[in-house]
Amino acid sequence: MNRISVLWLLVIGVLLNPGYAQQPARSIVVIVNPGVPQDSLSEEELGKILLGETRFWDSGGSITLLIQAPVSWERDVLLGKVMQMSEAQYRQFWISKVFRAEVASGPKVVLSNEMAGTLISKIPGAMGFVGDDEVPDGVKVMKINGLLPGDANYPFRF
Amino acid sequence: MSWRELSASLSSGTVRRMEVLQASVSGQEYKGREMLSLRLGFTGRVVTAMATCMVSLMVAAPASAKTLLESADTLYSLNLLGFFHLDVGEHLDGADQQNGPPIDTGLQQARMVGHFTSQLGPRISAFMEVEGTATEESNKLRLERIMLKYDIDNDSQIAVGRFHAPVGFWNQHYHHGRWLQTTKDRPLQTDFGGKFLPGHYWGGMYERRFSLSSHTLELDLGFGAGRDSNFSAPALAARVQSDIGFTAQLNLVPPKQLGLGFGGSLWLGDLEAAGRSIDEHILTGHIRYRMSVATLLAELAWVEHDYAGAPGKQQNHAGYIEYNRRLDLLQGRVNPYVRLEYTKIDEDDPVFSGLRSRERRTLGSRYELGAFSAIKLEIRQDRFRNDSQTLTSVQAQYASVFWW
Repeated sequence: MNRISVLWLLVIGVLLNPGYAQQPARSIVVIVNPGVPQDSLSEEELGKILLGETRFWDSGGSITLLIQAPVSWERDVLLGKVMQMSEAQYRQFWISKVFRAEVASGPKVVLSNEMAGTLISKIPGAMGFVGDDEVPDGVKVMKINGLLPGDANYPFRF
Repeated sequence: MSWRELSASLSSGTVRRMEVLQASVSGQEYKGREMLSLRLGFTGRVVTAMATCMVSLMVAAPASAKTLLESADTLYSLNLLGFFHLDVGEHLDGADQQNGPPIDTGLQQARMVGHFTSQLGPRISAFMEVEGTATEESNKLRLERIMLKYDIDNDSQIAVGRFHAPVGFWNQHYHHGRWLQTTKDRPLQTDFGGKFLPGHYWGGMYERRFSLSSHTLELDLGFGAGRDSNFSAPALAARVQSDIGFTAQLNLVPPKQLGLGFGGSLWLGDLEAAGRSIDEHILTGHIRYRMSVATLLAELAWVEHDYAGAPGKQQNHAGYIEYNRRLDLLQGRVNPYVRLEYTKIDEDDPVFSGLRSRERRTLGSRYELGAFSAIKLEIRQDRFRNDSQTLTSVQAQYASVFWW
């Protein structure tokens, strides 16, 4: 077997290796209670909600923010790529905010996407985040910058 | 009884109950006659009027049954946040314990601070902070803060109650939250038990936030009952009394509090002691540059006392600069820090007669034990200006936070 054949075999082996194959991109979907009149948020508006700076919808109703527990994919993506905070920074940020009495509490923690879906469908003004392959029934999908998760240029595809 | 009369009586009753509650839990500091004294002068009327507005809004708000029953607020009604710290220290040299100035040594204190917050309605929330402190001399339980807040919109709130005075950066951002701060103790200007800078005050507060591009401009306006009653000057025959205080604070905050921020605050108040009337003027300014692994914080405070009928004014000032940086060492758990600070007290100012001008240099490190607890170890050198006495001590603290 000459050197070129060996090289080809190596390339084919690497390409067939499952670990080499790229993970398909997933999108974070922003879901809200169906009673929320708004249909779209800008990235900046969403950022303010995540940081507790916006606590009321334009209609006046209060926003109840639900976020998955640590080590979930949704939380990792939200903190790391959307908010650009580490888990420790996120925790200290909210503890400081409650300590200064700026807010009564931090985001509520949900233990699963099913739990998020159930609570968001029931609680007026509630908002949460799930992967695009796990969007539950009974909730409304919020557009981001006027785009739905399947649209080209949707900002939260990772 | 009309709703207007009802809300007025409710509000004055609420103020009275809040004061009595505060006095009852801090009974070691206040005498019975003082406990029930309501300052129903001009300040009292302002506080009562603001409380009346809050109660009126509650009474008049068109809250439908659906809102009350299905609101998320009824699902999550009580939230708890607490801090705990334990302090120890020991002299290394230069100490004359009998005649020397007081320096914290030994098992200084163990303190637990609990915060209770509750969303009472879509826009109304209540907040209470209770502090328990054990020292060698005494045990104290004290109501630190209590407030009722109303969210006008996303950018503005009004509140009545007992607050951390928004004077200076440290008092509002850390106060008793030792886990939040990198160093073991507060800077000298905030560490005099609310004597140099006001620690708390009763009254009303209006908070407004303005968006400026990526930054936020925060405005706090407060009006109330002046300095808190734990303020006292040993050289004066009578306890210092303060009836009116106005405070304004303006802060420019970077996004996610990362980057350059700065701000300042103003305090105008009155003091009365041994029949003498004193006007108090305070100005503070701070600058904070916070990066992902390091923070630089510097603050200056200036306090002026103007005695009625006396020539001249007493000027006092203080400041500090602090730098800390998290190292890559041990998974980023090690966070060394350095702080330089000073206080300059006018020796002719009777109000600050219990304080001494000094300089302090601190070198230490914080180590994260886990997600919610840390230990801090530092070497501290205090130099007193009047006699050039220098004291060196080693200080340590365990600090933790818990919330659910």
